[in-house]
Amino acid sequence: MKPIRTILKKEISDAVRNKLFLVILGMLLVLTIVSVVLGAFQVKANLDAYNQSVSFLKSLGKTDFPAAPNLNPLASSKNFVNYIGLLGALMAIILGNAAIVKEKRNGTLKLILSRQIFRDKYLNGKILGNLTLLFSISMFTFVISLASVAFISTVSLTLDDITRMLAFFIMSFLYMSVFLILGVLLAVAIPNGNKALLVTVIIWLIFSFILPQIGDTMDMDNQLPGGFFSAMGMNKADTQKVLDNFKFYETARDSIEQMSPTKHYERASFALLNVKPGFETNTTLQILSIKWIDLLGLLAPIIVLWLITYVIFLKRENIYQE
Amino acid sequence: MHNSKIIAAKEFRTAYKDKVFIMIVLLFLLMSIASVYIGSTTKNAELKAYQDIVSVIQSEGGALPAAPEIFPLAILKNIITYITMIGAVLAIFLGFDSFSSERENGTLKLLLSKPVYRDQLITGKLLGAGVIIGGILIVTLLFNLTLFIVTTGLLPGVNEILRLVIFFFLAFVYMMSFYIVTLYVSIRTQDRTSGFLIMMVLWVFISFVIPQLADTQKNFAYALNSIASTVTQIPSDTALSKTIEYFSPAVQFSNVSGDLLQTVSATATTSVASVLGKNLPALLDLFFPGILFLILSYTRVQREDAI
Repeated sequence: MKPIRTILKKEISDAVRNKLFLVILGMLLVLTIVSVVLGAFQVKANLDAYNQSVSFLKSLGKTDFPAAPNLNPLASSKNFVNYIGLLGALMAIILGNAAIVKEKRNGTLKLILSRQIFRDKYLNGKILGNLTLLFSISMFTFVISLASVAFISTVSLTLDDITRMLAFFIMSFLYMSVFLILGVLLAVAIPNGNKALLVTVIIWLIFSFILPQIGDTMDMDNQLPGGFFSAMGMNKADTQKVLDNFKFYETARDSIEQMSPTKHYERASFALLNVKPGFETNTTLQILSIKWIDLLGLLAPIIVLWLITYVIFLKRENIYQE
Repeated sequence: MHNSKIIAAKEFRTAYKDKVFIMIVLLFLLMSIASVYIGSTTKNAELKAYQDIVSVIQSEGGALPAAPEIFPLAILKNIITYITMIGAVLAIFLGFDSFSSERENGTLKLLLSKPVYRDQLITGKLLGAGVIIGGILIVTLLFNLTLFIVTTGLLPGVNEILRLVIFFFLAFVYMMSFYIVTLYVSIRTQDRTSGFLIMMVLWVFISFVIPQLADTQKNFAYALNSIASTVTQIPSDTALSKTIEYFSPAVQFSNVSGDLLQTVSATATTSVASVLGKNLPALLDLFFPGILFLILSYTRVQREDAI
């Protein structure tokens, strides 16, 4: 256990000396506060627009008003989901790639493995060290977000709000972990460190941008601003009736989205943050059990990628070469 | 000029020997081609859904909603996203080690000991990248035009072809801007990995963070549907959201391209000149970073002592 702890500590001290990592981390923390501030402004602007619409309806003599906009304080962290999807994933890729490549370049990988340390312990130390770092960042951002929301928002947070937020930051940690381990795997599998980084970025592009974008494009309701079905004057039940005629099309669209960890992260996070309607009365545990497929969509790649990394790292002869 | 051409030819050969670069080019071409198919499938589904809605309403005896307006070039709209996303990354992949690799391999020293001026080196690299990016976009344009004719069964008119050609020219400017900024970063940074990661962070900001910040400052007006009594939120620009958008060439490119590819009904049938006239500030914003960093790159290379 001692060698793992030593490598773990070394990984953390290396990361806090990596300028680029610190710059991205700084940006992420600034954006966390910015997203809460802008979210609060947006809620206020939406409320003003809603009040104007209600006054207009009243002047027409109508009594049936649309539902009020979402005022829940958690929704102000909505943009943070996107920032983690972008900067958080990029930060994790840098950490994962650097964990292996720096040792190869400096020749220290050869040196360390010539000592009494098994390869699996070495790999565990590397991955656990970086996971600890990502977890600490997630928890630190959770505290900052909580403080910002409590300070800026006029609506007070309940215990359930706090546990939802905590669960959301744990989801963020899992999402970043997928790309951390992908970065480690490709740095182990591809001898050239630069190429490994480029290939990791391409895979990230495919799974985080291209697949969700295809899914969004195929969503019929996305074809018009405000929604295609709303523009056609359809309510929820009628929309579902029409969509039932497109079962194959909708299944194909959903399957494309299911392949993306970003989409799983987004779906679970939007439910936890109450951005997606329908989860307002559920507890955190209930949401996680409803969204188990999204939780699995993040956990499964972590486990599979970790196992593949093990197999490659334990079996490869020329692991030192760059 | 002769020296620049030699350097350009070398850049071209190097790029096409790089397997990772080939991978991203193939991804770009594949997605561009797929975008036509996805676009036409979605539009067909949308039309079919409309027909289903009409038959439901007719059976209930209600008033029919207006049919969705579909303009032919709009089925190509996904390509805007792919150029903003993959096109920019492709340009970064092409440029991130253009200078630093020469420096790391020692070939920069060797090259500059020959009768080659420093500005010719930059011109050569730009020419090489221009040919590569231009070639990829011409292939994409031809593929898109062919697929457009095959999937829609329509022959595009002069106005549509002109819109497409201008769109691809702007895509070239957008991608070259990313290449030029990457080239400048490559001149300034000592190792290629740092240069690449700096550009990726910049790309994330320009393509995603700034547009999202701008989105949060938009007004969301409530539109009431009198037939179904439903309410929809329609986003509209504010002075602050427009100002934030000026910091992102990606947004400007998407806005102009959206108008050119008929995704906005207000500009879908107007002349190309009026579309460009309406988007003049956006066009200037699109050209500005490329020109600025081109000047900075030439100046930096000419003045650097220990290049």
